[in-house]
Amino acid sequence: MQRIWDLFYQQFITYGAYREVLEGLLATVEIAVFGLLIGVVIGTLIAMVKVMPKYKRLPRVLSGICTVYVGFFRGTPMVVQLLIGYFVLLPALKIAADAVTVAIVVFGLNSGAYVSEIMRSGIQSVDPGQLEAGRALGLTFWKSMFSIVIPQSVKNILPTLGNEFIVLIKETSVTSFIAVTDLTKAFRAIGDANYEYIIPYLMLAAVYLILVMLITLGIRIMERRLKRSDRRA
Amino acid sequence: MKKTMAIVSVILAAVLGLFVTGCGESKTKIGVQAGTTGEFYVKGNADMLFDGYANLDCMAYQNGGLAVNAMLNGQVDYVIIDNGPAEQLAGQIPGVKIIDVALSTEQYAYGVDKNQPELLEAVNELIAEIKADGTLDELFAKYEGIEYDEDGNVVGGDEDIEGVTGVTKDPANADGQLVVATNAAFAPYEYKKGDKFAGIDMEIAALLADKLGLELVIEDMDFDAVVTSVGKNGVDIAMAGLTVTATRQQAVNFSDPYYDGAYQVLIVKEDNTEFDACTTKEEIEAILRQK
Repeated sequence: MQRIWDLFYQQFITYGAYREVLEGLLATVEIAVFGLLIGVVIGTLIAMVKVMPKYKRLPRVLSGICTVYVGFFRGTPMVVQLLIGYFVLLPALKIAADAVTVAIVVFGLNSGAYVSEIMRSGIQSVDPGQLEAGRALGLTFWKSMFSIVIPQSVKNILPTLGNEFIVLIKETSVTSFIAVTDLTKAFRAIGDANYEYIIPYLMLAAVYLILVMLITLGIRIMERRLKRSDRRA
Repeated sequence: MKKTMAIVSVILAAVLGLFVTGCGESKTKIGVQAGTTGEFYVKGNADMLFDGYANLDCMAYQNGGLAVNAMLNGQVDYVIIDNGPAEQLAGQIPGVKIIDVALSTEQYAYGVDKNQPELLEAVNELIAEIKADGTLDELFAKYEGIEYDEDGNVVGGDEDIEGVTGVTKDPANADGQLVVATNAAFAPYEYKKGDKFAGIDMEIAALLADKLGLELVIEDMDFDAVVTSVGKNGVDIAMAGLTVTATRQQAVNFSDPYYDGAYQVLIVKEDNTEFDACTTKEEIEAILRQK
């Protein structure tokens, strides 16, 4: 036990692997945070298209496109989407982007598909009378959506959205497929240096656990804040 | 409404800003295969006396082919990998060339489970035998004989490469099976030919199984898992173009080396002329350090 601690200490502190771990931590958080932000924007738009009244042609076409989009991103694994994005689409489109950027975009697109369903259930959880009231007051569909329905639905979906964030954080562990140095890769490299994986991997689990616990705490605080305006029974 | 729009635009601006900064920081990037000597060479490794390059970004891919592809796509600038696979990759992938200067000197050997000294003995015996009767040289010649046209298609020399098939691992029959861990993306040492395993190491694995009278089981995994897996879950030996290093020595017992000529080389795009004048390791390293 002393030996593997010494090996870990040597690699982590003396040889400076902690720098790679910090970089990896940054990459992991960056991918998850920006992925979720892109996901929320895309997801909200898709959800609104889905709940739009369907008596005109445009909404019907848009809705069809969204169904295909959601179908693709929910129907294929994230790793496959990463590999396609990095090794197929980028060269085909002749774009040079670094691996973290690719990961952020793919995570954003993927998460958009999931968030759209979360958002839709959130929108539908708001009484339809709210939208009708907005329309009756002369607001447009989009305006009543943005300023009346969505703000109310956010309160309902916050826990699920937090869940999506946690999923994204953990899913970043597959980004080493496209050569991102994320948290998992950084700790695996420490293990690779000595072929002693016990401490690196347990530490890795601990870091993820702490990250997720921090997120959970953050969401709880936000929820409490949003509850303040609730009617007390 | 205005407020929401403001928030959305702030988010979009933040995302855009991130892309711009992400593309802006352009450290020179070197592609390697994860867990190989190449990765240690770029990152630095005290045991192997590699200083590493603090000025370069090391991008670790699952195998050498992906790294070279990433270079052609402009995602990395150079690739560093062992000379054997480098030649194969440069033959098969159009548009790349090797700067044939050894950046390190290495020996390949097999990594045997530390709890099986009798297996180590048998492996050493076999290596001595095939070295003495010329089988090993024949094997190397056979795989060096593969010819490619300029598009990277095989045009000859692979007719007598049949490949080796393993059986499924059966924990109930652990004593009757030789379980080999490998990473079949490291031609000419091990690669997939159809559903079979081809390569110098794989043919030696078949010889070894024959000699011991055991069924051969080949477990294909990521390279950085190969050494670790030896001695666990029934894996007896690692045969994966494995460089002998002091660190790996702690995890496995190395056999006698079967190849002394291994070294790391640089692969660059065909139109790259930066290294054309280099004839020594020091010259190449000097250029890389100035990046």
